[in-house]
Amino acid sequence: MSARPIRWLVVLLGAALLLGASAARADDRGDDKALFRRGAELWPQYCGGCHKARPGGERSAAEWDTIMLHMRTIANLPADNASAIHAFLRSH
Amino acid sequence: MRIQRRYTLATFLIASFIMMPAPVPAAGSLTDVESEIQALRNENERNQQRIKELEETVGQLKARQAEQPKAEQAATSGLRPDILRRALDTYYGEHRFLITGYGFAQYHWDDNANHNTFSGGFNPIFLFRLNDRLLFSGELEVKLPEDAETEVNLEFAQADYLVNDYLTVTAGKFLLPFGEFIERLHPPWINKLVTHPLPFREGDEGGIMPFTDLGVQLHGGAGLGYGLGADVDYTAYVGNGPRFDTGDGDGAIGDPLTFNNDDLNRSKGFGARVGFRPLPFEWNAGRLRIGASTYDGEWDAKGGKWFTAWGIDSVYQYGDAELRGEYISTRRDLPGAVRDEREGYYIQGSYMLSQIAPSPWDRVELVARYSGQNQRQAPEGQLPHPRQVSLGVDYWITPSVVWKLEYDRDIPRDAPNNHEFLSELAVGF
Repeated sequence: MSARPIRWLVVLLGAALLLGASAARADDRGDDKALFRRGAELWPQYCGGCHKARPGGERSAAEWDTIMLHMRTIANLPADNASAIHAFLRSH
Repeated sequence: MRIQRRYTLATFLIASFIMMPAPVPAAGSLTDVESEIQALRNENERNQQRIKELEETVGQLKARQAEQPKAEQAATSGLRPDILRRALDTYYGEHRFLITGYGFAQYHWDDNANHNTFSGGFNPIFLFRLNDRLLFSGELEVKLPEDAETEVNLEFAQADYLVNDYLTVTAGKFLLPFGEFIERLHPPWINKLVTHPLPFREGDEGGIMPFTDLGVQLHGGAGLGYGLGADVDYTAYVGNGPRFDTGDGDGAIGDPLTFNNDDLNRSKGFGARVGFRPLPFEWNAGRLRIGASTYDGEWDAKGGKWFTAWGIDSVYQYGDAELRGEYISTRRDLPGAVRDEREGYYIQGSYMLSQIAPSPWDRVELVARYSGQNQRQAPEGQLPHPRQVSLGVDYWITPSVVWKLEYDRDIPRDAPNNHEFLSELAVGF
């Protein structure tokens, strides 16, 4: 069995788990307005990285809750940035 | 004299008529008039009373109306925005279960293959959010094979659990996190051309990477700490691994990829991907992503023969311009000292006219792509060294509805050139 892929995996898994273990959910994500402004800035950049950024008015706030969970997992968005984009989209 | 006498008579008659007393009504009629007057008086009194009552009612209503905003304000003064939002969400429904996805209608004309046909497809994606940490998602691919009834495939079916801000665990059948095209760019409403880049065609169409695997992923993303927009994303996974259709033999150069839904050997495949976005927004230098991927596993039933793949991918976006590309290299051990080596690549540029053209031409996007593939021997019906230049014009009706026109010039190294024309209407919903 080749050791090369295993070495790759160990390094990446270790990095992910270290980051994960040290993580405490950030409490200082700012108030609603600050989150909205940050989301407005991030929305075209992150969503537009793969596809045309779809406007918040396309869906209800509750639908964005589900869609953004899907997008965060498929695009590996940093949690803080995903929260800000989520807040921006669901405010429409 | 006679005339004077006549005047005197006439004057007498007129005076008599004027002075004649008025006729006196009968005793019964007078009583009726008095009764009527009394009735009118009574009615007038009732009306006066009624008007008074109405005035009192109006006064009360006005007073109540004046009090209402104060009462509403008092009732909602303690209502926090998040509580109000939750109440509205409850009113509109929570939409924990949601159907999204995409569909398309397509036309394809291929000169050398004498191919001239319409086709279409429909890919519903089912999302179920159990809570803010747990999501189940599945996609069905409903398509029309060349000469059979409708075919339905399970594109992916996975459960995602957000362990914390930096780590998500995904289990099930997932799109292979190798490069960007397979997992993030292949849906027709996202892909800016009708066709896939040559190395990213589906396995049975000549591509060199599997599109899916079954297993477990650990993945996530984090900021790099020196500015908003600069971050890293990472994925590591274990799955059933790759599988090739070897027919009755032990494997030969050019065997096509196939699905490994029920693992054919005792070992597992492994893969990883890491991507960086090094440019924070404050630099105003555009968006750059650089990624690297690997995917490795024993592909034969007995075990011991490895398939190894690595790739790099990058995309740079500045305003309405985008340049992206990917490179893949694969190697597969075969019986004896022979190896099945394949490589593929594409580079694609696009420019949206939104800032330079008036409406409605501001919705037009121009796309150009060059892609190629090399392998010593190709599966039946495929070429070992295909090359393709693709030119496209997209019209974005909305951000998720696009009409695409594409011209392909096929310029393989070892076969005649070819022309293809395609058009597609794709809808993301």
